Amino acid sequence: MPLHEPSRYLWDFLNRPSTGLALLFASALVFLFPQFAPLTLRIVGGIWLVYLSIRMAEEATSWAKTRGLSPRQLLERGENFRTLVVALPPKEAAAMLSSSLTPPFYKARVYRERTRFYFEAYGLIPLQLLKLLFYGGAFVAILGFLLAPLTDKATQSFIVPGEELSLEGTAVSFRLDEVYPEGLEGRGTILSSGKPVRSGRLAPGRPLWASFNVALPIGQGPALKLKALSQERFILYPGGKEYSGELAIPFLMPNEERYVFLPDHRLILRFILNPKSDNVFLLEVFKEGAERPELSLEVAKSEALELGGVKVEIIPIASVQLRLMRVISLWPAMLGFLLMAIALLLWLTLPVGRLFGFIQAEAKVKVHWAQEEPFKLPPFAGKGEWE
Amino acid sequence: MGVALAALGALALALAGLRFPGRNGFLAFGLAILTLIFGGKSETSAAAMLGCGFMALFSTPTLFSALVSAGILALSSALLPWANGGKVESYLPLFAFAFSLFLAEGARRMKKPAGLWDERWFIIACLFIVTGFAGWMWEGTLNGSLFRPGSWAAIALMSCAFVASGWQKKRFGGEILTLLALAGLWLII
Repeated sequence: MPLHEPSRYLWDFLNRPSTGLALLFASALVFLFPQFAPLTLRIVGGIWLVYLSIRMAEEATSWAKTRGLSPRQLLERGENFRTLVVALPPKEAAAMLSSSLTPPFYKARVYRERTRFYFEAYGLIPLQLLKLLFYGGAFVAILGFLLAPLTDKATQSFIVPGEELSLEGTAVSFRLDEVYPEGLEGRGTILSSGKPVRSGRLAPGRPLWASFNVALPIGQGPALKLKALSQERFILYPGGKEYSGELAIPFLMPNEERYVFLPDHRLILRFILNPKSDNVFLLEVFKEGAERPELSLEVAKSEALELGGVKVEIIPIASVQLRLMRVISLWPAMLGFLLMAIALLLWLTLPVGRLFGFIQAEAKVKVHWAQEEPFKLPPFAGKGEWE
Repeated sequence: MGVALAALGALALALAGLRFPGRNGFLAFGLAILTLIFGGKSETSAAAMLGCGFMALFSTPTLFSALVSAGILALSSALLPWANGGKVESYLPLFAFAFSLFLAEGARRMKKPAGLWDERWFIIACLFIVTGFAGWMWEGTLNGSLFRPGSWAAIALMSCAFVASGWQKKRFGGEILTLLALAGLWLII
């Protein structure tokens, strides 16, 4: 069939069985060369967007052109007819058709022209509308996927209560307020430009949401908490950040060393995470400039020490591996899936599109009909034998 | 969950077997027993068996043997060395169910070309794929993953291929549909 419009060439190219096979080969390539997965997906996603755009345009144009036509006019333009042999005389077959194509699901008309019975029916929903809904949903979902690398961001780190985790390139951060002793549950606050936006509980699989931002714990790690009775100053190294009265230090790997300087007492505390235990630390206390430690002990449970006249409690605690994400693409994708699911559910449950047919009475009585809808048979289809 | 799904799949196959006494019925009962024994190895394989049992339950006698063959192919996924019973993602059974419907349709179409059948199964399969994708994204977000194409992209592409093949069903052979569906099942198991 000659094609005159450029869009028809593209449509014809995309709308072939070979498209499915090409996608299959692309899938195989992605498995063999995973480094090409993002590129492959973008190319294929882009092709799908073009394909869906053209399909939507096609459906909308077809709807506009054919909505005024009767089912007979529409379907006599080349649709394949289906045939059912019924064990009824023509008049009763017409009555059976009339009773099975009932309102409100069908707007049907059975009529006689000369010797032959004809019938035509409108399903409750136009087929083009459902297709537009389905293709539109797929378009939005795929667009969400394609934009995901640009719109979505994530970061993760081990943090302890009081500490903040910032999402690079955004004004969003998260402050862990509290960790509950059981499991990985805790409380925290999502902040935007330093201002609290949302506070609440969070646990694995139950994140804290604030519009497009999500914070959730995904793991646990060892940590130490230092608590002084007075507003003692602590400086944590590496980093050199100063704390007052209380300090929590997450440890990310075995044998990791962290140093805490008590400037008012010129003391250095050296903590090393024991590689053989989950939450056991070696503590060495040095006087500033000294080569040998004044005190060395293993901290496996809460210890209260007198350090240079100040009482410091050292408590092994858990740090939380927290993941902070901005997931914008999730929502268009979900909207797209919802539209597609609505279209499919309506398609599955309600009569769709138009149908037209007639009863032929020869040696056997046959019902011939054509329908717009490609997948579902009309209600009378079970009342005879297929030919 | 896997055991419950496998039990439902075995029940569907057994009921289908009751509808067709003789060799086909015997085969369906045999497959129901094998489903009970092996189908629960993972939720994914159990859901695939449920899909095949569901199609067998609503099939006609002439196509029943093709659907039993599809059931045997679907059960093969439970016996693969890489079948992972520890996969707990709830969207995987949805994909498996959809793939098994495609598998059953492919086997059915090899026996008799499509044309005069009510093909609601295709809409149901698409609905399960859409729900599976939505579940995958939602569950992924709740577990802290962003959408980054990896090996899962292949599943996504393959599902699109299924949809493309569905629209073109009159030109797409049952053999290719069966192979695609089987590949999909084996990948996600």
